[in-house]
Amino acid sequence: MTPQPMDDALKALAASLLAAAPASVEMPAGTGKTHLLAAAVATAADDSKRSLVLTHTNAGVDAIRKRLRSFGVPSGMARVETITSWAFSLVRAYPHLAGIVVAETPDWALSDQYVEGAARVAAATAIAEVHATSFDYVFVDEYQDCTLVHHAFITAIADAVPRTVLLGDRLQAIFGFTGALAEWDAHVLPSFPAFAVEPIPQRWRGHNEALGTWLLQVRSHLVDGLDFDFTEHSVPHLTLVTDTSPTSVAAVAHAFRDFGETVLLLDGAAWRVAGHASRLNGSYAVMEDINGRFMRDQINGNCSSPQHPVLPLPAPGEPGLARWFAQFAKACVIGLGDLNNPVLQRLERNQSLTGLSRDGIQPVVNALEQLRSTATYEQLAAAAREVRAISQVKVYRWEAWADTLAAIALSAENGEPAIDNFGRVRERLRRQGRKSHARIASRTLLVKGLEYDHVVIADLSQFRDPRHLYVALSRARKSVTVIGGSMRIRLQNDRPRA
Amino acid sequence: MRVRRLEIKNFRGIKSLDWALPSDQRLIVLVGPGDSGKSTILEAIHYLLGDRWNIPVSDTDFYGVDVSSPIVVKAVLVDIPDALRKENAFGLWLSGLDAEGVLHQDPEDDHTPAMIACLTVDETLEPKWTVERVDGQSQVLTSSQRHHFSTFKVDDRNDTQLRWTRTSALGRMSVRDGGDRQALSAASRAAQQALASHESASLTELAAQVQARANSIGGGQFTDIKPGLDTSRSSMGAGLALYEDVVPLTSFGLGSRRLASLAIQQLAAGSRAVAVVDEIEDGLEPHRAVRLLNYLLADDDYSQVVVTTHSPVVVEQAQIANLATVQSHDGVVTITSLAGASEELQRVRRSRPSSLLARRVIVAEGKTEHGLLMACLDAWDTERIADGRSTSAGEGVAVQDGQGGSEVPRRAAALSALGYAVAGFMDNEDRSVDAAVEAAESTGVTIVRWDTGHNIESQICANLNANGLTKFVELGVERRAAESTVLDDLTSIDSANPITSLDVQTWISAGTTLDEARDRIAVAANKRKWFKEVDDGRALGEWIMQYRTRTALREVVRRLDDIYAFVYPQPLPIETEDTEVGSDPSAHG
Repeated sequence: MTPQPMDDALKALAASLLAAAPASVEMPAGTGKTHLLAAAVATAADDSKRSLVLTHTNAGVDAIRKRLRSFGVPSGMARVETITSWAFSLVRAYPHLAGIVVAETPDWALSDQYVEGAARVAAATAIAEVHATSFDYVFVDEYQDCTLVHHAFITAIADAVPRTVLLGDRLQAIFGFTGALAEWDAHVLPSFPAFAVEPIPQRWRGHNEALGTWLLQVRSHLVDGLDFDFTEHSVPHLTLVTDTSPTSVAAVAHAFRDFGETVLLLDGAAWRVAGHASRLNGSYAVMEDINGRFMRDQINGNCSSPQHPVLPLPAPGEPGLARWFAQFAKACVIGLGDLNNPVLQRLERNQSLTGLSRDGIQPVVNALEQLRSTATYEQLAAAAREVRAISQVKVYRWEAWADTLAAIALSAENGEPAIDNFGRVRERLRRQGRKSHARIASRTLLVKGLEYDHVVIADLSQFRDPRHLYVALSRARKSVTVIGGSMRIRLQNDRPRA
Repeated sequence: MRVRRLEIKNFRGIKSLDWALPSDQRLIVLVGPGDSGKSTILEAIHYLLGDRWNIPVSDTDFYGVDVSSPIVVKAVLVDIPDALRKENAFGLWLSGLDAEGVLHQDPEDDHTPAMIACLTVDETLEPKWTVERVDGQSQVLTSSQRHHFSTFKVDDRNDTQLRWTRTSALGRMSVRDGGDRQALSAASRAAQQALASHESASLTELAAQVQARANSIGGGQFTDIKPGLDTSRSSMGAGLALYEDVVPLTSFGLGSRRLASLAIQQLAAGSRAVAVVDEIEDGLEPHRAVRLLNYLLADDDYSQVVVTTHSPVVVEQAQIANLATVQSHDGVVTITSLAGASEELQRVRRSRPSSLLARRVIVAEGKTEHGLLMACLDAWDTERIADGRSTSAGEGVAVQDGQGGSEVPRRAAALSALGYAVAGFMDNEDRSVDAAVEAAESTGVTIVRWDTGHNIESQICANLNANGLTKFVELGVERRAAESTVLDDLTSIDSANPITSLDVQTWISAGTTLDEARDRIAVAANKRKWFKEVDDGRALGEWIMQYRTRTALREVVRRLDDIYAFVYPQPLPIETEDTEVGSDPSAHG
């Protein structure tokens, strides 16, 4: 990021936000919320005031740190963390106050326990003093994603550091699987009065400013219970496609010719996303959720679907490693249809594949046979290389493929269970961010906060929750293509599961 | 910041110390005999909390020169400076101290938040500073972090503090103020020609601050402190130093230099400083030492001050709650606060403060016994010096006038409880104190009493013959200044039988029995106070020492031998020939 000195208007806005704290700031997507946050931290730092900045994702942390650097904020003047990593630090330091004892390295599956414990730590008098002594301001970004558990933790910190600013956009509040979200009206505004900012569409500058303006206007229409009809809206580069057939989706997806530009293809459920990606023949890579649920199922096995049970990864030397690899490859790759039941059944019975001939993928069959007779993780890696060597075979679950194999390769080295190594691989991803792919197939939940040149909504009927729809639309800088049997939908908020 | 607990292991003369510092006293005056570890305690605090990035440690700094047992200095700190309580310092490294002084892993709401600072030196001689938690986790504690402890020590190497150098407090204050770097370097350059031509307002101002503070500490001595050019250390080139008029402060007496150094270091440390001062009276007249003590007691800029003293005046003038005695037994050091001390101890402190500076204390019945013991100690010391053996001063012996027989066992027991070796030296005519005597003896006090029913005069007279009694009466005449007075004293006991001669033999010839004569003289000496002042007692003691080989004084000398054995404890077993000394009167006769 090139250095951007704050202009006077931004400085003044940042200063008045600091003066207004405790406050909450609601800003639509792409209108410079993070920019304002960074400016406020920078303005505070100019006055020798330190800030604690919390957000949800490591990507968010990186983005904020980059902006702070560009504003020349000395690193000592702001501590930028994810909510859970700060919670972990507190719980790790004060297990008695937290009421839980945690291991040296975090297990993010236990995030909620960390945050609950951290709320108790932050409420202790001595630690409230630590917060109060350490920080003059607290900023929490993407507050709409805070669950009630997060909210209790942040409230405890805000009790110690009253000058707390919460930033977010309730229209982007997408319910994950982590518990009920804090409500803007019920939880935020009573203690953190609204600080009004005139939204200026920043993201679309030099791309499609009309789209940006429209996305601001359309917010008031994206309300639970209202009907929304795309045909009533005319915006440059908003394209409506009513043919929902796979060939139509493929035509749309393959129409983007400029490979310097990024395209995001969205659908509602994970299996729908994977279906698109496989039908698109690997040209779109499936984005996995941060915990890598799909890969964990591959490694641990999953019997929740009796028709399609997922076998767990066997240890080296155990029979069934070849059978497992065949299953894993078929789940991540398109073009291995000929690894059909006869092949799989032989592997299941640990019978030789010699004599079976499969045109085009014979090297894979040979590699599976080798893996069957020599069941080592090294041999598995060799088989994976054979899969990749065949030109008509395409990996569409690229992230799952690479991370699972990386975990298995680590196990070949250190002898530890692959699932533990997988945790390390994903932890690295948390810290370093995802490999960027120009073509991504994903769900709204996973792309919050990210930007793409083009967005394709693969099936409008899956986007009836106005918040999902808004997040989907607002990811695009240049164009939005909506595919749907009907362009008119009844908007309805998803209800959190009890 | 304050130290609430201090642990020392294997540092110099201290094998172990675990000291819970009084939480309600800002000033702590450590008293006790020499070599009990007082100065080592101050050095340990300074090493642990001072901001030097390295400390000079050698093999001899290890207890018993045994480098295999690491030196550990550990302090529990409360009122932690904000800079260290930040989350990027030790905000996540706090511990909890409960009301009973017990440490807990986490600072819970009914605890005082505390920080455990630790200095460890092992055989590599590499000092390591850490902050620890109860579970043993530790984190490095840097020199710049220790700077926030604002802890400094005033000692004899204080001349650096009177100069502007990169590391001195003056230099750091000037740099901290900003902009003075230039003045400093300009001044140094100007020093090549003449400092007088360069006027630095801020340096002058700082010098004025030093003057004001030094004067308020020490009672007004300086009138014109200013920066000046110090060329005394020609090998190091000329530098800036503090001057009083035309005299560099480095040329002042020790006391003045220490006062100025204290003022400067406190200015540099800022408020809430922790100061340690070894031998607070060093170089100061008693009134200035007391003035300094009161200043330290009252100055809010200090959060804790720990000093040592060897000055009875300081012991006497300090608040009793500020005093703490230090005792060492084979390197195991104990510190006992006198806060809440018994009545007896308070009287000990008032009447004879130096007792608290001694290792072995004899509480004597009264002035007579006090004087008598002084004479004995003089005589014994003279003999022992001739033999090349230790003296009573070397043994750290103090004699305290108990101001009455009933006080002796009580004061002795109170001192014994503090760890002092104590003997009581008293009459044996008052049965009401027997219970107290027994109680004192059960706590390890040595009680030396005359034969049952005797006071000092009657014990001396008990076995004298007529010649001996006459000599004793002659001593009485010396103390009473006139024969007629003594005649009057003797007559007053039985006016029906007036005494006309000071030669007791004439009484015997006239029909008085020897026992009657002994009794009459002893009662007269006692009633008419022949030996009631310390000097009289001393004369009596000299008299006894003169005649100590006479069998007639055997019982008296036996008691003094007991005292001798207490004053000069048995030497180490290796010198077995000497162990008989105390029990054989002829050996020192």
